[in-house]
Amino acid sequence: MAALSLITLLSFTGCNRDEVRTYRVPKEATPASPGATAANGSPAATASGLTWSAPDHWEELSAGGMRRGSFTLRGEGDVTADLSIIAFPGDAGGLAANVNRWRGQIGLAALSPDAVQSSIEHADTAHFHVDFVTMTGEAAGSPTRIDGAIFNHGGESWFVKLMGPSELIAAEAENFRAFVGTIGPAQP
Amino acid sequence: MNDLTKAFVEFFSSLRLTVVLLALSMVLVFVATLAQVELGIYGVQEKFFRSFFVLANFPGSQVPVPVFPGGYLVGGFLMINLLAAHFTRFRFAWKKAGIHFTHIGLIVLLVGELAIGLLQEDFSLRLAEGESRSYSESFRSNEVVLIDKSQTDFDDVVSIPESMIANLDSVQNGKLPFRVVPRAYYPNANIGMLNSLPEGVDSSALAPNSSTQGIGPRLGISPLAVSYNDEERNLPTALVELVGPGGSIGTWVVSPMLVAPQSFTYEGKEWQIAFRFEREYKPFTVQLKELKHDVYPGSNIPKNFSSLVQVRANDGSEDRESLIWMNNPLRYQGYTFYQYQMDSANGFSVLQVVRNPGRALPYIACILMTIGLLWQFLAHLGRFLNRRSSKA
Repeated sequence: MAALSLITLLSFTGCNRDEVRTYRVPKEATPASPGATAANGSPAATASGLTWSAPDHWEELSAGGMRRGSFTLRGEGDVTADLSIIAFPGDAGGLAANVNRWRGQIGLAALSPDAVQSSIEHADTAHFHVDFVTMTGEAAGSPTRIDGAIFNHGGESWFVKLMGPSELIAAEAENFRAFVGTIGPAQP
Repeated sequence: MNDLTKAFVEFFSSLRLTVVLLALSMVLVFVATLAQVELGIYGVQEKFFRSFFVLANFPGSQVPVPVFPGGYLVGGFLMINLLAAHFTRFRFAWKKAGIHFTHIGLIVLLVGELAIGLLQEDFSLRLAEGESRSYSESFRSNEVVLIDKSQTDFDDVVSIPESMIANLDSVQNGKLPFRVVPRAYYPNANIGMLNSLPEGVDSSALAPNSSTQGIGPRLGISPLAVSYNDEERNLPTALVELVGPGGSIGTWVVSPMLVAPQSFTYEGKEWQIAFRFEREYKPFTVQLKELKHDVYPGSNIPKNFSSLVQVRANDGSEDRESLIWMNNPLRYQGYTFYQYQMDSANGFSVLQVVRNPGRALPYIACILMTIGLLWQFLAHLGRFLNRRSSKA
């Protein structure tokens, strides 16, 4: 009797959940948030609770990999620019390091942390304090500009980066500012 | 009954064993209470109570050796002791029914603790306002998942538990056209972009990174000490290589710190790989409709947290609203949803989702023991009063 109880007890604890599981799940839909509709475009929402609204002529791409949001902007001819929305946990290495990373992408030398600070334009949108940066350099032999916006939300650092040919970015600069202004928590 | 069996039965039914076991359990509870400072409640439960032996590393090595009987061993022997005593020494009599009831209650309590230890599931459900989810996430466990994205309506998920990744076990599964070979595992680690490491982080102190695919080659991995604080969560990082029949496909850095899964294409199919908080999918969807975080006027002292949710069963059998607030959980399909945390500034609510098939057992045990003790007390009282009245 005693031995039987002991064996039962041991066999009970023998079953554990540490095995490979396979299952099928419906595709995760990206919910459109009803409150996020803005006058000038279609709403989009991310799984992390931020929504934004882009101008109609921006072409939305499916977000994947590290990207929470992705757009292509088309200029005259075959000219295109890329807009990405990325979030990293914590401070993602700090402001200076990230601005210098962007500078490196268009062949500009790194700045000291103080110089980075003075190159930043601070602005408050309806929801966030945003650090805006603008830089012009060269990539693949042609003048290239980056307009960037950096802010914190939900314990993550968010990076919105618009990169492309200088002329196209200059033409879209106002739209970019307006777009960043629409980014905010999903409203019910 | 031969001598050996007799000695065996005598040993297991002896009152001395009961006393020794009770003493051992007292020592166990005392030591575990002190150990909570270092290990936290969950760590203590696992190490002292939900184990057969309390293990400690042999001095100067990583070899674990048993140093004290654990909760399962002491509890198991107590149960055997109680059952054995009943079968050998006790004979059923109505005037002793109280003792029987009390002992049955004790057995139910011991079995109940075992059932809770093995079957209880404890998950969190984090929702942004307006968001719907049909899964909850583990508070502690993580999983490496490979997701076949090639179908239009659904995804096929292969989930590998963290323990197999930690043991660097190679995984082959019928649903995968490649082998999953963990190359390195860090139970708690920080990752950052290599070209923007925080100041003070020495790049030579980073863990070796042999990744070739995804964001991995651009990341630096700095392993951290494992935390036993209940308030903190360890975020593991692993290097995982996928090996197809034609050789290596590549090596990825995976971690719950990377919020989005990494995509790749293999033999024309789109796949995703991620190391994420372990998910449990449910046959229903919960949507957060509204969250409320009331404070007392003129202060930041919370008065009330509440989440208004819509619960929809996948088979269409249920579609209703429910308000969850402190001490007023939603109970649905064997799950209990408690209001756990709230971040109203960012529009998030976190619910604790508990499934505990054994949760009624401690109540049943207490009722049985109460009946037993009352019966015993009243029987004694009756006999005492009878004696007094007959003397008078």
